[in-house]
Amino acid sequence: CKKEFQKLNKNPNTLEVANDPSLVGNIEVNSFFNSAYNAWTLGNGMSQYATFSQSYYNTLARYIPASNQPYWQVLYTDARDANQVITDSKANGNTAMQAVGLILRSYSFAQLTDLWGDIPFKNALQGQNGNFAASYDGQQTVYTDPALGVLPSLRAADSLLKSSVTAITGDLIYAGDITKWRKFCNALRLRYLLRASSKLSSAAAEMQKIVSDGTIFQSASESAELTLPSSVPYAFPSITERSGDYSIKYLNTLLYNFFVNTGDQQRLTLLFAKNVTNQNATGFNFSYYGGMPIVSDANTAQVNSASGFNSSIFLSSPSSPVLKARVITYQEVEFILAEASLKGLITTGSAATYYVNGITGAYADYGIDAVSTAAYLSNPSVVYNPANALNQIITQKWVGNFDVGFEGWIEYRRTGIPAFDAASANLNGGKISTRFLYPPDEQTINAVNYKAELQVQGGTESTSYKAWWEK
Amino acid sequence: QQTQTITGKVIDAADRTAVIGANVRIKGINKGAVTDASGIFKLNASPEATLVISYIGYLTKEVPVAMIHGPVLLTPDAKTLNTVVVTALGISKQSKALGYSVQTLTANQIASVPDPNLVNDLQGKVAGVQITNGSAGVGSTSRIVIRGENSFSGTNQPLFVVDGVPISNDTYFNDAVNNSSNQGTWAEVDWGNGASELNPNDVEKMTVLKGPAAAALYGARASNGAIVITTKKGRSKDGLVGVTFNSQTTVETVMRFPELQNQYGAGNGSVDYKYVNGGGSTENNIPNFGRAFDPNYLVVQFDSPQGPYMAADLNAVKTLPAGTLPTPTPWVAHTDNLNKFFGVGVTTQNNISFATGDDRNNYRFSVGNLYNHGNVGNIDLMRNMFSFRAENKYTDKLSSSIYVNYINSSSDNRPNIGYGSENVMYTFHGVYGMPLNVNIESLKKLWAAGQTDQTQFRYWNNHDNPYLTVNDNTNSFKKNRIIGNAQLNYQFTPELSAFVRTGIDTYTDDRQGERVFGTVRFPNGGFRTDNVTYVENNTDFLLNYKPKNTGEFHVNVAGGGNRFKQSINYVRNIANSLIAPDLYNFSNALTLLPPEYIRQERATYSLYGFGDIDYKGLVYLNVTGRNDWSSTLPTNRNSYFYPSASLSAIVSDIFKMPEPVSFFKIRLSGAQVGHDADPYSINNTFTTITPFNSTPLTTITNTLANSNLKPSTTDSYEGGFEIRFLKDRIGLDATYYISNTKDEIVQVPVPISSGYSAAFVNGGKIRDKGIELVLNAAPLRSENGLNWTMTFNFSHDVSTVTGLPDGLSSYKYADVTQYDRYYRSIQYNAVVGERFGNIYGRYFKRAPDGQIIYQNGLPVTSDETDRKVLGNYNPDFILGWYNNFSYKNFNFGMTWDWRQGGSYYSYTELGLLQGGMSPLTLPGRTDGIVGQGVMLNANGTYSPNTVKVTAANYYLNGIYNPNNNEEFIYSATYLKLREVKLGYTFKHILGKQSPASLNASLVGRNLLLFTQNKDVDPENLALRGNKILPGIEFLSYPSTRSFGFNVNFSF
Repeated sequence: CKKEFQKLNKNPNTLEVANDPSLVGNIEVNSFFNSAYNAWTLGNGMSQYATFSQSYYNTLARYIPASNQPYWQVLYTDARDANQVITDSKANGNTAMQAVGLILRSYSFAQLTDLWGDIPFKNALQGQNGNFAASYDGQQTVYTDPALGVLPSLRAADSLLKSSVTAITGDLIYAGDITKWRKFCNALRLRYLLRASSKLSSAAAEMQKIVSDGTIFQSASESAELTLPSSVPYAFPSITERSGDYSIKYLNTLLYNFFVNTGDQQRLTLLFAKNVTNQNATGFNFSYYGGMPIVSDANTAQVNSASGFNSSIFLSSPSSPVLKARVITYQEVEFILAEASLKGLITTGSAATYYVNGITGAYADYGIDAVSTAAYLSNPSVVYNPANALNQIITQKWVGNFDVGFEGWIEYRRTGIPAFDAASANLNGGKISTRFLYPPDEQTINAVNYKAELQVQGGTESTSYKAWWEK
Repeated sequence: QQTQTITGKVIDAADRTAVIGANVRIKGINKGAVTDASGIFKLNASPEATLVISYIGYLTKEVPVAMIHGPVLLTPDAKTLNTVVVTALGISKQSKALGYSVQTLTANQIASVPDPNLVNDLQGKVAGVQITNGSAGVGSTSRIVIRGENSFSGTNQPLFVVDGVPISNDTYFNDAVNNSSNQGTWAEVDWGNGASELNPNDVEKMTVLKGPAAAALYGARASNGAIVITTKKGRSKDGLVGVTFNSQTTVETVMRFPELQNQYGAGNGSVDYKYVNGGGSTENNIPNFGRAFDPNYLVVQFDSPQGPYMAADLNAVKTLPAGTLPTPTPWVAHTDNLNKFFGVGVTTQNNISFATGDDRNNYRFSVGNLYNHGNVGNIDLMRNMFSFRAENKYTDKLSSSIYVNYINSSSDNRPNIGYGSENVMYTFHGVYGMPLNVNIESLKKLWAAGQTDQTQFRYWNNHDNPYLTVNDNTNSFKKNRIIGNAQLNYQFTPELSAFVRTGIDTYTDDRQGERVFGTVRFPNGGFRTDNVTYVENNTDFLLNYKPKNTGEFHVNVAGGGNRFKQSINYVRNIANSLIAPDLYNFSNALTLLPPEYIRQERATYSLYGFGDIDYKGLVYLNVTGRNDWSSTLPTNRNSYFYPSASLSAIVSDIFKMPEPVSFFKIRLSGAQVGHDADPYSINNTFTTITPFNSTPLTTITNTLANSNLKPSTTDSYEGGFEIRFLKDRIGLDATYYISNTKDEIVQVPVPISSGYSAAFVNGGKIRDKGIELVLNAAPLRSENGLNWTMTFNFSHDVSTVTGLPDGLSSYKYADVTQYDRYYRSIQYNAVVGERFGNIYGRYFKRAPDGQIIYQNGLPVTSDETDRKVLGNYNPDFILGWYNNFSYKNFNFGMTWDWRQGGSYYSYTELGLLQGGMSPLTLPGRTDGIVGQGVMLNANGTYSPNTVKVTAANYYLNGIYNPNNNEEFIYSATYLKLREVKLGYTFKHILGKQSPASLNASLVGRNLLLFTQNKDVDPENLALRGNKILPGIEFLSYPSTRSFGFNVNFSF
């Protein structure tokens, strides 16, 4: 019966050997879809683009200390699968696939550390060796560890791709285009270098090197984004959302005020609908729209005056460019360079040019035509103003990162721009939280290491603890 | 001497039913007869002769022929009730020879008031057996646990065995589609446990083997005990056919509806309710914290009329004249919506059986039918059962038996359960529940005008119209199942015998789910099919040697083997959106998920042996040994042996006992059972997941396999005694047991930072201790007068977690959430040193003196990572009280069920309380409310809370905030009147000469319930994922009481 047993116990339902292209495809789908999904269901609230009007659903968006465990799980499984790709492609000499693995793993770890702070890192992902309890590493290590760190890994990936003659397979983002992968890789490098630039003395030089090399996004069409299908489980979340969940999402006052102050009619009307009071009004007027402050439960006046999302895009146009799943875009890179230029981190190009490119890219992301873009760029409050440039750059980047994960919130934590509302209906002691709590699983089944990390944070876990770049 | 033909009937003195198979002998002459299926015997005897009538379980009776006029009444004998019990492998043994505890139920006890689920017929009747009902009425799964839980990972369910061959009591649930609360998420459906389909009318007796000692010979699957069912055999004489017909019709009415306040309608406390824009923007107005009801106050509601339209039509009907506005309607309460929605269910069960036979052959054929129409919508359940049994003796040496049972079950609709809009109880009690100003009658309109199959007529777009759900969002199934076995016996010599036997349990279950257009989760409809094919085969052989003339010692040794093979195929097809409404076919699919095909196979080979030895019938010793080879373990570790031994002594036969003691036996046993792993636990794999467009995607499987797994073991010991007094009128059977499970193969959760979410390891340890007491008494006993027999079944069991895999301080073996709101989940955590079954949840922060801490007028809830024990779902004890009275032709029986202790979490209460539907939310409605508790001062001291908040804020966001779990825990203590039967037997209904009799009874089940919570039934299960969980009332359908009549006719 030994033979029979072996036959019986061979799993007929799943593969027993790795298939790297399908692993890569899955990491990509996970990374990109979850960027959109988390933004839509939570990040847009925490980044103050949107207000969720019901206390039954909105406590997380009101910064209540919370773990966001599901996203933590996605990021670690992505990093794990990327490790498999890296190991396999190292073994079979596919340097391009190895680079893709490094880039995708770096993105996952960067998300983890930017959202949770210190994380299990160097000893993480060792379960197959019987090590289930990974110790925590500081955020600086996650960014800079020579072997595994986000920045060294991305640097290594870029140089692997630069000289690679092998092919990328299974890629849903760039169809295996190695140059575009380099641009994606460098976009991420610029994002994390800028984020760490106040702590990392080598950041400026590395940024300058990337810019000098020039393999960076040249237009919105090169952005790292994924066009989602129209049906579950990968449709843009609003398309398949329960109507009751959809209908509690409103334009936040902060974003509404931005639209009004910069005369941004295009993005306002594309993303949002007229409020109930003016739903039958014809033509355009900023007063037909409205923002909702952060609330526990909105009252009728607030509900009637605030704009909901534009249903003709968010419910019925699954192919709209607005509904792409984005990880990092051309416009963000241009704004990063604008800030870097302004701060003297790089010397190539001018902040004003990068700034204009950023806005142009943000408009292009949504498919807004060139005439409207030009009109917007000529608005006096949009025109580059050296006296207010940093504020303009970061605020425009904030708007441009609508629906990109938690980027709006992360960058607010770094820059304080734009001025978030921390007073209204805040559930984090009147402060914008700076991180998520570690998931309950960490607390209970990685208890020893979790407790050690608590000592680093001063004994108790808080959502106001600042890790490294944020300090 | 002259003989004459004597005909008579033997009936049970207690319940007046026929005693089938009783032995009727003429005293002094070795000649006699056996009663047939109607209890009738016929023989030739002299008028002076005396008949000796005997049957297992009854006192033997001698009646002179001259005295036989009416039926002969046999009195049940407490002493001999369990004289012969059927133990492992279908082997009968004398009760007094057993060194472990078993309990046997006779046909009358099982099917006195047959429940559509056979498992429920055991309720209250066996000590140590805990049964919990499913949440969706007839057809739901009932969970049965014997002697508590000894496994984190298993189901803790006993093995069901029919005529010596195991069958499946599992349910293969539909594979879930997890899309959070979004589209395409199909609700859970409870398809019922496998053993529920057995026909109680076919059961002659059921023996409950409680511990592993009793079940050591069935292997690991019986480590939680075994329910050994013996089916009825044909018994008749001279080829006559005995016919028994049984028919029962009951109606089911809802046991209890939640109590609702009737003073306030929808609103969020600060703004008056008004129906706007299809309900899209008015979620604020769903909780019942609005304006007080006032018929003079007029407001636009969803069913406010305007000409041929109502308000909820307006946004859908594009052609309405501009400016058309609905007419406001009076603001009045509708607190009897549930009462209007739920009607009366009807269950009919009919059975007819034919039995015939002679000395060498006997046959029985039975046809049963069950029809249930649920108390709502088109929910129903049909079952047709055909069984045939034959026993043939070909020569003195060769005999055979065959049993075939074909069960055809189907339903047009099984209810959606679980959390979310698919479940109608979510509409009534989920989120905030159905506003009390909603008139459910209006919802019968189903569709907005001109929008059939497109836009529902409803008051809010997170709730589906409940009438639409129960009528159109159906889950149907067709299941064909065959249970059968064939056995060949050969008696080589008087000492040596052998049998071979093979048995099968196989079914195909074809399920279909249909979803109409315009529902919350299926805006474009949906269709799915789930096909399960299950095959289980058990083949046994056994060689038995029983030497004669061994003097004062009697010996029996046997050895045999078993091959168990199980294979399950599951195919799932899903279309989460359709092209056109009302066509449920994949050709009509707009989007189609890739089919899912899961295969699972396992096999176990076993060799076993046992030896029994006794000294003069006074002291008995039994030993067993079994070796298993399992396909699911690594090849170098897949063989494992486990033994058992038991000892019993009939003290009352060894020593002289004081007068009142008529019987005294002590027993002691110890046993071990080994368990294997789930299939495919030893090799790592990559899981294929839903392709993106058409690109295949894979991921490393989140559960880490383990190629070093070894079998786990349960060691158990039990000791007990059986004592009877006053000529057996009172009997007590007491058992104490302890069992230790170690090296349990568990999927331990590991932090995902390790790359895996779970890993197979050996490591769990559970200790289970308990006592069982069975008290039999016959307070009244008289030949033709009043008879009263009763049984108390008491059990107390505590399982304690004594160990966890290395590095774990707590192991979450299950949880229940609303969608994926992990941060407010109820968790079942195993913690070393704690009782198994602890319910963990978030709680209110409290000052050192225990008072709740308030902040801004609202209680402060612990963080999501900070959970504590809120209760334990296991009872402190269970007491069943089974009674039978008879007087002349009347009989009356009743069973009470008392469960003491334990807790459960109620999602229904959460909805009622948070949604302001409960009268408990009335205080403070007009003036606001200051919560009872304290505030933390800046200097670290506490002072009484003085902050007044609105009632809406206090209840919605404060005391009944669902992020806090402790407010929704209730005591699970209850007392239930489980079964009542009042009957009368009409004798000789086909004339004086005919023995035909008819028993007509009024029957009732679950008639009375006494418990802490007046709104819901504490006896409920949640179905989450593919797991049945106790301790959670998860938006259950209201439980029902049933009553009706039963007719039993035999001739």
